[in-house]
Amino acid sequence: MKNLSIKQLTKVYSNGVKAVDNLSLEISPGMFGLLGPNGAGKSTLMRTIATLQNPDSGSIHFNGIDVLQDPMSLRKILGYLPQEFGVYPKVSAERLLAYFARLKGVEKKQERQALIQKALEVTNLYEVRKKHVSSYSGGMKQRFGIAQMLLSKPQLIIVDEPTAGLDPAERQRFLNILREIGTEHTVLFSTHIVDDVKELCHEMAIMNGGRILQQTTPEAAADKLKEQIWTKPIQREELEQIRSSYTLLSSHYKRDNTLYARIHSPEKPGPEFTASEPNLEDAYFLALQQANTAV
Amino acid sequence: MFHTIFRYEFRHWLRQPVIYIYAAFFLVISLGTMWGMAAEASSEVVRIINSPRQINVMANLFNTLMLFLLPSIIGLSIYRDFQSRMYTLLYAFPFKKRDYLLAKLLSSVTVVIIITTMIGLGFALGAALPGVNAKAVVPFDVLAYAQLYGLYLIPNILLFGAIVFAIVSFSRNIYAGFVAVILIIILQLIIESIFKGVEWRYLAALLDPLGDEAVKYYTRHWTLAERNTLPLPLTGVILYNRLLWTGIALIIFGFVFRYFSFQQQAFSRSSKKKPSQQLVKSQLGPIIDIQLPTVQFNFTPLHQLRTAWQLSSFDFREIVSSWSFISIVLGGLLAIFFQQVEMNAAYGFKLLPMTWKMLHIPSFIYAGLVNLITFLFAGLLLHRGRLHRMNHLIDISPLPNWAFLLSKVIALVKIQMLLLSFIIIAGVTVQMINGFYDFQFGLYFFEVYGLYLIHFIIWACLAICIQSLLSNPYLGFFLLLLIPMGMITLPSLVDRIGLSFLKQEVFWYNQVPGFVIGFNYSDLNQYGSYLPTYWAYKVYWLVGGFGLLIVAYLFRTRGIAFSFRERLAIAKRRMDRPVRLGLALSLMVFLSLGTSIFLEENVWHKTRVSDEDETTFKVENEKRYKRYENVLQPQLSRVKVAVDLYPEQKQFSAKGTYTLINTSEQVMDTLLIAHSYREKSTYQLTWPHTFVVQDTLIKFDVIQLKKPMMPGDSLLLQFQVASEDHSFFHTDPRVIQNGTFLGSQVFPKLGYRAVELTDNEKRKQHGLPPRDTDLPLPTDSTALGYAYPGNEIGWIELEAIVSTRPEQVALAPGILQREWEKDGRRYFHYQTDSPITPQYSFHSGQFAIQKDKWKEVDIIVYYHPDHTYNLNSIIEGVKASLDYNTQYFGPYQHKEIRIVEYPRTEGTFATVMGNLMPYSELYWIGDISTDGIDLPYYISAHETTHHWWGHQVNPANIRGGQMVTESMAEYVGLKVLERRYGKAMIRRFLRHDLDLYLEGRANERGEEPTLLTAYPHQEYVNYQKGALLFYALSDFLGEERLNTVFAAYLSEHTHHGPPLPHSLGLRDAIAEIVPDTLSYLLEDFFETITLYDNKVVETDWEQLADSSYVLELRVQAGKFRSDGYGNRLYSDNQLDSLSVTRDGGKVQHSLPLQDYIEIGVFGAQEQDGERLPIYIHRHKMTSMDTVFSIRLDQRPIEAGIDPYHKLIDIQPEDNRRKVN
Repeated sequence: MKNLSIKQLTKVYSNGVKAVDNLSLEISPGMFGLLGPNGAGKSTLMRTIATLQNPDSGSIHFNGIDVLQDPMSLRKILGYLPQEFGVYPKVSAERLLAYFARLKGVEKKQERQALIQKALEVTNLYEVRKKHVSSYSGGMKQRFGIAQMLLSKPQLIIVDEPTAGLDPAERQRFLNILREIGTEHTVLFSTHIVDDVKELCHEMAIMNGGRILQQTTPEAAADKLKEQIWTKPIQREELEQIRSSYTLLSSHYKRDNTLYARIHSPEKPGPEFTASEPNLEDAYFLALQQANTAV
Repeated sequence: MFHTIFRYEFRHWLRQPVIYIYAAFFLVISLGTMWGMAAEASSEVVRIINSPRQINVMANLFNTLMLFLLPSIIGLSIYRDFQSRMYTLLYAFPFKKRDYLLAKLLSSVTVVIIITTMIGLGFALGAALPGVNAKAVVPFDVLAYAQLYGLYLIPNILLFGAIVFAIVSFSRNIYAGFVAVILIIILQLIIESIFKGVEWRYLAALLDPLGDEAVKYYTRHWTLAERNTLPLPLTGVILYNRLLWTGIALIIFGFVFRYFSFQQQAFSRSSKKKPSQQLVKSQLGPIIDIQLPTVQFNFTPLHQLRTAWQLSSFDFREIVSSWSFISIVLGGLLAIFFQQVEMNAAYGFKLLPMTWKMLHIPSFIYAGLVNLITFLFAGLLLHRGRLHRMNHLIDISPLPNWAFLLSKVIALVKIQMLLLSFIIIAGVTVQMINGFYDFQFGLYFFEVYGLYLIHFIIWACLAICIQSLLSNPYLGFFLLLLIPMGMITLPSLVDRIGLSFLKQEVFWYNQVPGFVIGFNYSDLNQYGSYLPTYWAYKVYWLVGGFGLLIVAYLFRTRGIAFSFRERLAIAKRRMDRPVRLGLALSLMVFLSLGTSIFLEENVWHKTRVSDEDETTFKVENEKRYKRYENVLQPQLSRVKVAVDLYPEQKQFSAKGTYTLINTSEQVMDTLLIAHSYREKSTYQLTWPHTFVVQDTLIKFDVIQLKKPMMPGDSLLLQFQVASEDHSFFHTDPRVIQNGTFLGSQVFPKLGYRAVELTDNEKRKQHGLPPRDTDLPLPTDSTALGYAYPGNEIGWIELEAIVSTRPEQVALAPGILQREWEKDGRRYFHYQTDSPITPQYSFHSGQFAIQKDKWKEVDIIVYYHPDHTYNLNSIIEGVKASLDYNTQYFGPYQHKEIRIVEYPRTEGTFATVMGNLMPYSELYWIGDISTDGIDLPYYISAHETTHHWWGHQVNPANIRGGQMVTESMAEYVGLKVLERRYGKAMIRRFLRHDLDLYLEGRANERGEEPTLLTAYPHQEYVNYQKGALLFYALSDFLGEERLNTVFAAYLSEHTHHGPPLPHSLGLRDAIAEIVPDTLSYLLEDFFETITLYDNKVVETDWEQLADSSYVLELRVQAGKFRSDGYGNRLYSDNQLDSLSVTRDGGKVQHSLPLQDYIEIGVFGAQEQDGERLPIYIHRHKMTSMDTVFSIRLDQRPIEAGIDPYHKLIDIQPEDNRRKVN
């Protein structure tokens, strides 16, 4: 059952940039990853769904709510963590959460306190609840972002590039929390890190240039490329030549300082190529490349 | 590197549209101000509007606006880098700290300077526009502008720019920059109010951050001619002031420079670092299940209302606990406190810290501060989310827009309430410090929260609206600063361009008629009948403010809107049914209230006497009846009147009879009767007559007597007068609930009404010939009789029956004959025991009564029961004055003296009506405990003297007449004070009069007269100069001798008809006893404006072997004449002027000297804080430099030339000097 449905959404900025281009997307409950490079229009899409800005045309529905016509109904069940946010200076996490809990309509004081305590525990901020959020480290601040999100008991959660800049442990912790929440709700999760999607999402879309290039699942995306991914050690000088004659997905150095090119081809492109197990990254790069050549 | 950053920054600013908006504002406002003033200048006025000093004064008006540009531009220039997080990148670049900071500062300072050049440009253009009065402007003077910018504007921008820059870099908070500016403004206010006293002026001049006081220090006593022509001085304290503040700015900037570092935390404060806590991350802990507790969500409007309240509390707490808010509040508190401590009433005397006074003092400056804070924090509140980049988290919450907006409004109002409560706190504190415990808490709370709060809430609505509409909070703030200014200045502008109906308050946001600075409150009459007007207007504006809030609701940004068009579309979407309904409803109520107010004031009950109405009245009166000006009228000899006062209804009715006698030697056949303009009045004559004119507009009748009145004939005029009808905004102002002071001017008068337009330009427009003078000179012997207008001269007999409500006492001049009650009203019958001048009044109030006696004369005092503070002073002053006057000038003419208090709202003077002396409330609450000047005592002495000088002799209605009354009363006042306090204290009183005189002549808008030719309104001459000169004469000639001359003059004119007394006559009488050696005094004192410039230069002393002392004293003497406009003249008709070349080649001039000037030396002994003389002697001085060698038997402490200020000295502060 799909419960978030986006139809023919378009947003053109005054400088002519088409941030979202006639985009349609159906999302069902669970973790949905939106993978795309910087500038793909992910944030514009997310902000539009989160009722923060208006599209030029199109529609968004969530569980029967017409989001553009009735944003207030969505806000009641919305959790949103923007790509970048600040907080009022010199206010403790506890107080700030109380402020958000009020904004979100939690009526009773005891309930508010219990909810805040739980949110702090879940995000492992209980110990530092008296500290000013403005003094938190990046990871703590992101977790605080989740804590404030939980207060509305959200059914739709929108998380915009939350793992950028987190250390691996923090990132792991963050994803774990997100996974827990995502089991019951619809989570829309944007990132430019392929691993985030691979680890977390059961459904995903690749986005660039304001359009959805591919909607799939992480497994299916990789599976689809079975026996189509080939690698070959190359000299640095060969790279340009390879790029022009094959669909070059990526190139990377191995530990022995040899450069390997990774290409996509339905058939074995040549004897010097060896088959390689496809992964999500391949699917991502391929999608981007195909979109580029299509243009 | 410096150049690169500077250029980059500078270009960045030039691309900002807001810069051009600021520049345009400054250009338009300054141009408008200059043009407006120069165009408004009347043809009479000789004040140059664009003189160097005037440019400086006007540029000061823009100081506040200019100061707020500093954070908006200079502060923003550094804040930008923090806010955009650019610093994370920028700070990694290989800048030198010096380059970065200096380039940032100087580029933004340059931008501000460019914007402020618009002020000068506006002035220069404004003075050159068509329509200006050519006499009021001089051609463009580069030097004047160079001085303005070089010495004041640019240094101030640099100094305070550096301070703001430092503070913003230090705090990384742009609001701190705004707060710093507010604090600078407060500091200036405090300096202004603390150092008001003469002796503090130098310090104030030194410390004033903007340098304004320093300029005032030198120009305070400049005469009109000097103000018009001189460039601003560039010496002494002005230089020190500039140096001091440059130094302070350098230190602050040096501090930034030293400690600024390119790191996340702008300042390295190593000393304050707390031991860092290790936050151990227990990250890879077990995966907890996320079972959030069940909670109830409530999205009902009621709950959202509560949420709005709670959010406002959150915002309120955050703001009021921020150090920036606290520092403003502390500053503001200090400002009120110091202003409340310095309570200046009329004449520079202090009042007791009455509660109304405590409330009144902050109403101007502190009210401005509350507005500033409202405007600033409205911006902060509305843009707070965006400022801290938390807005997206907030915007997606399910709280509706209205609740957000409401929470901001409530938070702002809470801030205002807090700020207002400081008025009470400071007020009570000041009262306690003064040992004054008569707190009126009810009044405090009523005025602060019942009256003021609504005023500020209406401004808050505007602030919220503007800050919601504009996305740039700094521009919003700037606009908000301009709007209240515009509300005050624009009405006169629209008036000038001929849309005079538009100037009414109903068209100008949050304006109320009659509300200038604070409320007019009296302990007797409270707010009078003002409050209904106030509330009517405020409710009207509050509805308007509510409409503005709806606009704010429609346009408030939530989320991201990229263009105004998009915002418009959003607003359209928000315009749902309830909003449309609310908007329509508030607009409807607003418009209908506004229309009703306008109609009530202009059509239904024409309560406004507009300027045009008044002009028409004067013009028509003159055109129609000027020709009757010299028609002789019979003289009033007896008045019998019954007056019924209804304090509760604020009404009165009166009927009376005049007995009019032809006291002239001519036959009279025409009566001219001018009767009440506003009141309903009728009259009958007991003489056969016909009407030539019955003018209902001017209320003036010309009557032809069928049988002429022969000399000695008399007729009766019976009249009935009653209050005008009341309307909503207007009740008869003559009768009030408690403390009525009803003057005889409501009764009919005889003769031409002498109300004429004085401005010759206006007269020309209305087809009237130019008018040479108000009043004839004393040399005009034809004017010394009764004939001249206002022939209410001479003496009358008065019989009055006054009634009032039973709780009140009613008074009129005369001796109380009988008192009775009838039909629930109280009646008093008064009858004069000897003739009084024909000015009388009727009073009614709930009074306490104090009875006393001086010899056979009863003294009865009627006062507000709480006002016992000065009762004794008032009575003692009367007695001391009776002592002095009866000793020299003859017996007192009445059996009783009645003194009655009247509300300060009705006037601030004391006067004499027969044996009745009405005193304004002010004198009952004056503070007599400090400063050694007992004003109520002095006023009593002065007024009592008028029973002789003013009532036994009454001068002709000519220029110089007041010398016979006011100069004499002031002189006797000084003498009575001298008797009470001793000769040593007289210095203070003389110095006080001298300062008032010098300030009065500096503020003279027309021409300064001599003592002989002063108009009645030129009080600085009639009162202060007259008192000083008469005192000096008594010192030169001897008190007894002079008083004998006065007494002879008095008895010659007592109750005597024409020719009436005048200044020349009194001068001639004095001249009889002036010896030849002193004859220069007559010319200096009476015929010319002559001032001394005496000064102690050096002192040196040694002790001799016989333990006596020798003091060597170098003094400079100088004297000059001044013409009516303040131009100095040093030569006499016969003799050339003296001159001396001083160090530095400056030549000093003087009139030739043959003058007697006192030299005094003072020892250690003191009395009441005044040193007693050990040597005092009058010396004849003939040259400008004199050295005295004085042998003394005590150690000298202080020495001086004219040390008691007996002579009029342009620079009195250098007359005395401590002996080294």
